[in-house]
Amino acid sequence: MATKPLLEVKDLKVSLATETGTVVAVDGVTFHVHAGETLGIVGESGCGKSVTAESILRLFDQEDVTYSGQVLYEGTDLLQLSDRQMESIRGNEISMIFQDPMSSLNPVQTIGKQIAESLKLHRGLSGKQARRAAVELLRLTGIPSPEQRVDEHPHEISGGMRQRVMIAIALACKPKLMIADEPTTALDVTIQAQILELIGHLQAETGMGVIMITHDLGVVAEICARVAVMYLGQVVEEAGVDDLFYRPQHPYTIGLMRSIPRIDGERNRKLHVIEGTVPSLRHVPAGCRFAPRCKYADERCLHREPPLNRTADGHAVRCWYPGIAPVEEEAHELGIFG
Amino acid sequence: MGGYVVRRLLSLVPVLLVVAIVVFSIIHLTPGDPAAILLGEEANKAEIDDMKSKMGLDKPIYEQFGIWIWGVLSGNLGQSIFLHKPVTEAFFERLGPTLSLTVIAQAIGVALALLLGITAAKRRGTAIDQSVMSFSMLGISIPSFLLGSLLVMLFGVKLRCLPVAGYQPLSAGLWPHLKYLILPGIVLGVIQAALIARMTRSSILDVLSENFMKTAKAKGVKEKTIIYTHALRVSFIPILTVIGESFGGLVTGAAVIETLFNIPGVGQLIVNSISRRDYSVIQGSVLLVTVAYVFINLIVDLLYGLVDPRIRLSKK
Repeated sequence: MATKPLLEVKDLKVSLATETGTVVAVDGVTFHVHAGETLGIVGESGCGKSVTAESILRLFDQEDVTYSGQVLYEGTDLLQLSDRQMESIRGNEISMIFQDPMSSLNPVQTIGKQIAESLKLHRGLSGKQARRAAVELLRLTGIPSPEQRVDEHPHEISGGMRQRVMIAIALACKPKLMIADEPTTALDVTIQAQILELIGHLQAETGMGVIMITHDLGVVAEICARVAVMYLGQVVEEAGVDDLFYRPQHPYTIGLMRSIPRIDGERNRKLHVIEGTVPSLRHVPAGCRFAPRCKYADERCLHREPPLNRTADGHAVRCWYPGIAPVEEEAHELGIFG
Repeated sequence: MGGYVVRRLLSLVPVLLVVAIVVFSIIHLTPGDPAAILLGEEANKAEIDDMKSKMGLDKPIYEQFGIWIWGVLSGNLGQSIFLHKPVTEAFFERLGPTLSLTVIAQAIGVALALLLGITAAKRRGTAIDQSVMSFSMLGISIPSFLLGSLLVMLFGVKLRCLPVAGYQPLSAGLWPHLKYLILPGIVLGVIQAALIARMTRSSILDVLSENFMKTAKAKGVKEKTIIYTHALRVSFIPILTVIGESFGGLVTGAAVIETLFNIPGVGQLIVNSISRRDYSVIQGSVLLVTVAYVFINLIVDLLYGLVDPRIRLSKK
């Protein structure tokens, strides 16, 4: 795509103040999303996916966070905007869906009010207009009898419904970019598929860009065009989805793929695991961050941090020995591509 | 909901019975003879005995209790031996000043508490938060008569802008009515505020870390607006509980402040009646005050459902 990307994150670094000191949760992350495109960000818990997502909208309390780098939205650096300007971006130009629909809705407000809020705020709709719009949005997200649902409270509807309501809230102002932070993790498998389908369908209809944050490679394979794999606050590999699944380069990416259980695998075959655990952000390894868990690491990996190298075809990988790990036939047989 | 209210009202009966027995026992166990007090020091024994039998005090105590309870059940709380009028009349005369004072104190208290509590929660850990919390500690600890005396000294004696003590009914005009209640209202309000502010702060802090606050922020809602439209209502249940409790405390008479400011309220009535051994007034007032207290709690419970739709009582 030769057009300018909708969102360009450049060398984003996020330091968070916690009770036990400051940690650098995101360290030099770079990626971009085009209009109408879905970018997947995958990684284990604690790799900085959610922090990256929330940093785009600057959702952290100002006193707890320090950003550096750039978050260019249509050429404007969001990190430089005033609070006022940022408020007019949130929910209007860029919106967000969160992981847990149970706790992400206000328990004492009706669904309709919560959807209407951003419409009143950004579009200046009256109470009546916003309510009508809320009913339409509920209908759009596939909620049956929206005229009744609009006056109900979150505790009166199911988890899947609540995530639909979250999507309705996110879509209310027709944003150009939607960030979905593990939108299906807290849901039943059957509902997961419906929600993903809904997001994909709405994206095709509105042409918005989507950032899909997930730890589920199945989700990535299903709806993403490009994928960034994150490990310990950094992007370790980024490529088009086919490219990534067929020609993964980073030992971590390969490890992730091999640890997906296969429905057609032999029953007594052991599931692959990546040895060790993600180190704490307080004790980031010197050199390559994955080196302590990597079978192929040598002296160079332990002492010198590899840069994120991008090849001509846009496949980027942060490894001294890209492609060293055997992919075997794993990726081809994952069954992900059906 | 109707069923719930009826059940709550029925549960009032045993509560009132216990209160009646306790109050009756305590005042009859305390030394002091109402007949002797009524007749003065010059009265001789025969006169006192005569008075006693007229008042029914020569009967065995269980019989006295029986007579009183029978009266209560038929709506007659008895006659004040000292005020020469029915207890109910004496009580309801005094209820007006107490209610006015309560409303003013509670308005000052809640407004101040919400302002302070919310500010402290928003600025948690800062100097502002700490000063609010120290103020609230001071408010909880300071005796009401001390704060009252200090305010009287400043506004009543030094600045001479407010009366030192006294009371005018609302029928005398709004300002005359209010000006007597401002100082006692501030004293009681500040003390209530101290408690409610602490609850508000901790309750809002709990809610601020909830996920739906992030959702609201991601919608582009201003941080100030988020606190008032999203956080306050969700965190209001514990705040409401404290408000209800303090309201109950005020309605039942702020005896010290009513005495200090010479406001003819319920608290003063009860205190005076105790020193006069005016049994029927003490018994009747305490009983009525208990009813008021239980009713306020009932109203608070019903308000819970209004604040938080997850606690709608009707669905039970």
